[in-house]
Amino acid sequence: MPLLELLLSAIVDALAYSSMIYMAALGLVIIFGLMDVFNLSHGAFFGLGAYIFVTVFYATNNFLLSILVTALIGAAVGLATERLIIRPVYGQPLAQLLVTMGLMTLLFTLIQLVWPTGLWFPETESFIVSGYVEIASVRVRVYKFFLMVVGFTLFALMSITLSKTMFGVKLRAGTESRELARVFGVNIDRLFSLGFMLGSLLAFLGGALVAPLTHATVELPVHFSLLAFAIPVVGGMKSYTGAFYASLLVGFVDRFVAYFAPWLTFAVDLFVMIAVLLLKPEGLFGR
Amino acid sequence: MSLGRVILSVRDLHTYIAGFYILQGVSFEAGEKSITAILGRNGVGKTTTLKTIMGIYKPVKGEVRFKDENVTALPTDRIVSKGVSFVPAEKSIFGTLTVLENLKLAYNGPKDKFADRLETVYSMFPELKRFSSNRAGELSGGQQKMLAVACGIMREHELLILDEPSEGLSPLYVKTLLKELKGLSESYGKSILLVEQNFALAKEVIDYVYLMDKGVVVAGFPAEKIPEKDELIRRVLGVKL
Repeated sequence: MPLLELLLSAIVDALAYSSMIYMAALGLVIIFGLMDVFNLSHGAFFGLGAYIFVTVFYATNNFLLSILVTALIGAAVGLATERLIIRPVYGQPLAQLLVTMGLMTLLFTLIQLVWPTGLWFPETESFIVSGYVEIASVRVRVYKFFLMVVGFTLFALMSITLSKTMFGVKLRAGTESRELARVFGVNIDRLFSLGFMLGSLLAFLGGALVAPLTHATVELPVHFSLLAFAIPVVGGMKSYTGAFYASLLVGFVDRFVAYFAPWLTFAVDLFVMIAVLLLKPEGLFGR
Repeated sequence: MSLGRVILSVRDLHTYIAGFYILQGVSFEAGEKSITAILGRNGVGKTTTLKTIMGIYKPVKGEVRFKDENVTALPTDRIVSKGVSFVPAEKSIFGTLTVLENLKLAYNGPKDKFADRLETVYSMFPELKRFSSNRAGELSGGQQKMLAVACGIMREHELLILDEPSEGLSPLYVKTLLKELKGLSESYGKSILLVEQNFALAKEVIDYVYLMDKGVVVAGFPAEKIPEKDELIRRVLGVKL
């Protein structure tokens, strides 16, 4: 492939991959970045989202319905997780690491038991899901553009929710001080339940959305677990815009390395994270 | 007590913090539509008393009644929704939110009344209007304190509880603040309970005084009696008036 076509292909892949990373990290921006909960099982949520989505898709053959069902299951799983194991450990990072590591192990094992060889997402009739377009003699999967649009839309929705709505103001207030938020009349228990539920929903949704491209492979949960945690670190823990730019950065670095120095892929993502931690520990976009 | 109806009554509160016996049987009452002050030296349990009333600390024994309803150890936000607004001494605003976001968050009344209430608060503290879109953390110490009190007033309340409202303020600010509080209780019929170290300034506006020492309330009397209680006040507070 000539260089120009290679470059075009790499850019499309990088943008799509950035969107995928952002979707994996978005829920974690709320749960880890805003609520200060180390949820190690976030990547397992993402993986479970992919598996459940493909399973529901086989049963219904309806893309939107499968997305919706997966998101609802995500919300339910998030709510149950918060009530049962997260609520007793707010403000205790070590306990959070232990209980969510337990949950992560449980979910990974569950996934391996139910779907030991992974799940292949089938070809569909839909042009958006399975179709291709040709741009300057490069054949590109239409779904990659769909992922970019969804990624940008989620970013816009997230920014508006956090900066403009009272839910966002309350969440930021609760992050700064739970005690003072209560003094301001905020029902913090309900707020954090909602926040955790929303974060988990976004993880499942992200898993569902990437599945048509990546398939629900065995290594998918672990791969995106690492990426999801790299994003708040690179972007700055408290910065919800930072997560977006960090996803673009990691996405471009990863894909360009994959195209031009494939033996370094993935390792380079973690190099980015380590370099940021060494040079600017508060994150590139941290306050 | 001689000040009409009682809005808040505290009976024999005992509170431990981290194993330390801080409140050792605190009892007092705050009257409706008046300003009640709790005075005492540092570390006698004034802040703990207020935080126990607000449900932030749970007492091992004792009772807090607000408008004849038992509110002991309810979740703080429930107590707030019943009409008690609390302005803490430390950490009383959200530094990462803007001034306006702080005020919006504090407001819990009907939506259509928000603009009116905001205007009222801005007219009391005109500086806040100028900085409304600044992050609260960027304000000076005095302005932050003003914002904290403004948030306390934004919330729907019948009883406003203030912990050390004058701490860290210049004498000029304190004068304005106390004048506003006096106006609030006189023209809007609000009840105010405050903890204060600056007795010289506080005595200008208060209606009833309690003296606290070593985890208990040792005396309570109307403000007119301050001159004749001079000896007692000096002994408890360790100051000459």
